[in-house]
Amino acid sequence: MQRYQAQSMSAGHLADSDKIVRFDLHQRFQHVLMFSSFFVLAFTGLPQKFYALPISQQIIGSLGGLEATQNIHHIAAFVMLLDFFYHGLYLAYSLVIRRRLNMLQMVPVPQDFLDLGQNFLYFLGFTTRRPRFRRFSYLEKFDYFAVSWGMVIIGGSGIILMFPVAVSRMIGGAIVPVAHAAHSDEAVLAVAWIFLVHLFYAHLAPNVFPFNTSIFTGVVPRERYQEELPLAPELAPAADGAANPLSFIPWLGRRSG
Amino acid sequence: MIQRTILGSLATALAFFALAVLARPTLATDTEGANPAPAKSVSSGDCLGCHGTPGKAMTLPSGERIDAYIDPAKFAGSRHAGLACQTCHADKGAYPHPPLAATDLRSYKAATSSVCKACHEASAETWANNVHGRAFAGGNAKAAVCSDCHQPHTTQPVVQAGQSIACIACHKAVVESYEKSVHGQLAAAGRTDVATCLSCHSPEGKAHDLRTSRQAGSSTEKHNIASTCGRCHPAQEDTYSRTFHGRAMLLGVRGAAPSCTDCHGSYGVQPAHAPETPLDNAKIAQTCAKCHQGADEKFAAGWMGHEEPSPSWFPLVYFTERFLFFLTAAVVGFGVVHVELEILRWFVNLWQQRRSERSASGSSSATGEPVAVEAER
Repeated sequence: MQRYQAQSMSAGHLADSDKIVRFDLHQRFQHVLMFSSFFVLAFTGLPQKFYALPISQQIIGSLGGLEATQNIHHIAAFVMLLDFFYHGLYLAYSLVIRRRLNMLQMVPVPQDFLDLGQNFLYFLGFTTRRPRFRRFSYLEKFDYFAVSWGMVIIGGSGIILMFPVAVSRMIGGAIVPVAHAAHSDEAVLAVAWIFLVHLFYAHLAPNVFPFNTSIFTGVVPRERYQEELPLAPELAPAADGAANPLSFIPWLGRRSG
Repeated sequence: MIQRTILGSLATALAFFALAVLARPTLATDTEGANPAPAKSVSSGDCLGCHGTPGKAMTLPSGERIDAYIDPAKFAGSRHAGLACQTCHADKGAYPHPPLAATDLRSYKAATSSVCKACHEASAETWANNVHGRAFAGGNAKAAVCSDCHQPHTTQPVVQAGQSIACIACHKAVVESYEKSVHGQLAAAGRTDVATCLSCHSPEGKAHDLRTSRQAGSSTEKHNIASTCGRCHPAQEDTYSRTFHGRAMLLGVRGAAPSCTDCHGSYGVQPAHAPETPLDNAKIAQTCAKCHQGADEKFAAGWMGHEEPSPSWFPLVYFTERFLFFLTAAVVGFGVVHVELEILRWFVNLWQQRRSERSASGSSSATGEPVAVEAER
């Protein structure tokens, strides 16, 4: 464990050839906006869902009451939605203008399910080989699309709850109690996932403990990258990755052996 | 002539009856010496000799009349039957009575009510702090004193479902509104378990604690209304507390969120809808629009009322809740199992690594010291 720790801590001092830039400045900034607004939303939202708990009432009281808590919640929600659209524009620009097609490796493929199966076989001791991930592991893909799904469900229902009268006029009032139910139930799922799974793999897992700086610096030590995502295109010889960036999709390109 | 004679003998008979009933407790009080009677004492039986005659009254300097008639039978059945008249009317121990200090009815009632606290100490103290007592202390002569609500000579309940309500003497408009409400109608029909004035304004265990809704701690203060109504309507209080409105009432600025009475009304409360007619969204919208500007029928269609969602009532809400419950259980369950197995595998790997290192060092130094290996662990 200490070996890993020393590695992750010293990522900044590695020679350029020993580092891989995994996240560009936009991605890092998007993540900062995302998690900071996420924490504020969870901190101001959960006490409203679990209103009967004394701790909830203390939190809301210390924030200046329900109205103040809701104002903070709405501001953070605005930041998160802004971040969502920022990411959408960034994604379109990167794919269409800059042709960074490696990003498409985020799309789930059947191999992900095989990787998942193999990982469980590894956990249970039926194989000694971990699955060899491409640029994004199935958990990272799940993280990414869970956020997207959450943005649509929680963000959409949140807007409905902010403007119930106007929304009722447009699509009928029955949507309001649905939004009320969906908003916080889905939020609990998101918070549970982030705290139980995402933060574990980001910071507590043995190979990154105690703090994985790569989402802030953008840099991952090549050695760890090799270990975690051995099939990532950055690790392949340049010609190979450039030849067919869509090779990871079975029906679009031949799979490189 | 004959009629008058009959009435007279009837009154005399009643007076004797009352005397027979009252003689024992009166004597008991006297022998205890708790209330030493004045020299020219008159007993309760003597009093009823005059005051047991219907129509007995006197006129105050203000021109107001005091009804001085005591119905001997009702007094005998009252909780005060065991008390001598002088226990309360200490200044009436002699006949002819000394002139009254009070010049009008209000000051007379205030003076006679001031004696109650001798026995009813706690009630008098609570009264002094309730809306009536405070108004009285503030110089409002109209403020209700003990005898405005309580009849000391009959001690009948102040408010009895379906019976006369003492409050009406001053609070005419609201009592009339109450009488038309679902509570009042049921009370008039003989139901004894429906809300009367005191059910809300002085709930059980808080007798005399009448406060205005503006007074802190009042049972009708806005954020206490739900629990007051909930004494009879617990299911509705429960569902209310889970709505946006209920949560805002609990967590928000006091009194900013709507409570029961904001939608249902208070004194004149009517059922939301007749048992056989469905909720009318147009009617609901009028209520919503009191706070939600521009609320119309479409907005009202989203109001679930006090019902929980079910496959037949707001099925979309019901199935959304069910779906998200199972989704959360499945996703978080999967994630936790994944993390736990990851941790478990890491420890197993560590243990296996240590074991192979130990056996490697053990075999390489088979003749060496296994103690050192143990220490290394």
